[in-house]
Amino acid sequence: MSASGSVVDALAQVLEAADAALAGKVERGFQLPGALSSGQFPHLFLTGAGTTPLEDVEVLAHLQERVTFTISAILYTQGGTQEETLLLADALRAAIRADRTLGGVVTTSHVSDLTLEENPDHPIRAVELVVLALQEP
Amino acid sequence: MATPVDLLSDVAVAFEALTGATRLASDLRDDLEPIPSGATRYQLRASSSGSASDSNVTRTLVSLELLLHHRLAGAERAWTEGSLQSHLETITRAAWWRALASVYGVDPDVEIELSREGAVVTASFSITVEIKP
Repeated sequence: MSASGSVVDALAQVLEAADAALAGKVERGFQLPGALSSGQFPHLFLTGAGTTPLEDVEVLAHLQERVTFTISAILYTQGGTQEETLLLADALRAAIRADRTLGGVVTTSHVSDLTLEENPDHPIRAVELVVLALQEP
Repeated sequence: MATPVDLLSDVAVAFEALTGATRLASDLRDDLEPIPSGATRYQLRASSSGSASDSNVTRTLVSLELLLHHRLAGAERAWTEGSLQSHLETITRAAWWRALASVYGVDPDVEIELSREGAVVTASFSITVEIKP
């Protein structure tokens, strides 16, 4: 298992437990929402965050390494209200706050950005949560 | 007559016996060697601080800085409230210094600073000693 993969898997476990509606609907990687069937919503993809490095390594004294993993959690919902989507995003963030070490895999983690995208012509909403996970030496 | 080199050697031997630490290859840089988990390392720096004299002799003053680095293998306080306190208590005693063959006396003003970066806790200890003429 890669270093990043271990963190992504740990994050997936934490987020999947955040809300019963996400059971079996959290996966590594990314697909466009059009590839999902209506029964697959809400759906959460875990992937890299754009041009931000997946792993950022800072070398400390005595050659210690502090690694920051940046993971994008993209939540798709279909139908419902904007508030319902945001409440689900809040539940994801609350799950991370409740277990910041992601089961002991990292030192701490938090949601650094939350972005909502919606289109009045389309029933699918997207929320991106950027998760920073810090692994201290 | 003792020299600053004698002093450095005496301090290194006594400090290693006290702490069980081994000396890093560089006394000035902290970015060259890793410290294994649970291990203790130190650096020793010295600079001349002039001289002190009485009616008979002049003695060389040397400022010393000891940096004790410990990479935590467990809880921080297990070290900072455990062995570290014992080591600091010992080296703040003038008697520990006067027991060194090259040391005549010590300045009672010492400085101790604690810091942590990553898993490494560093205790910096500064003292000025007079070496035997």
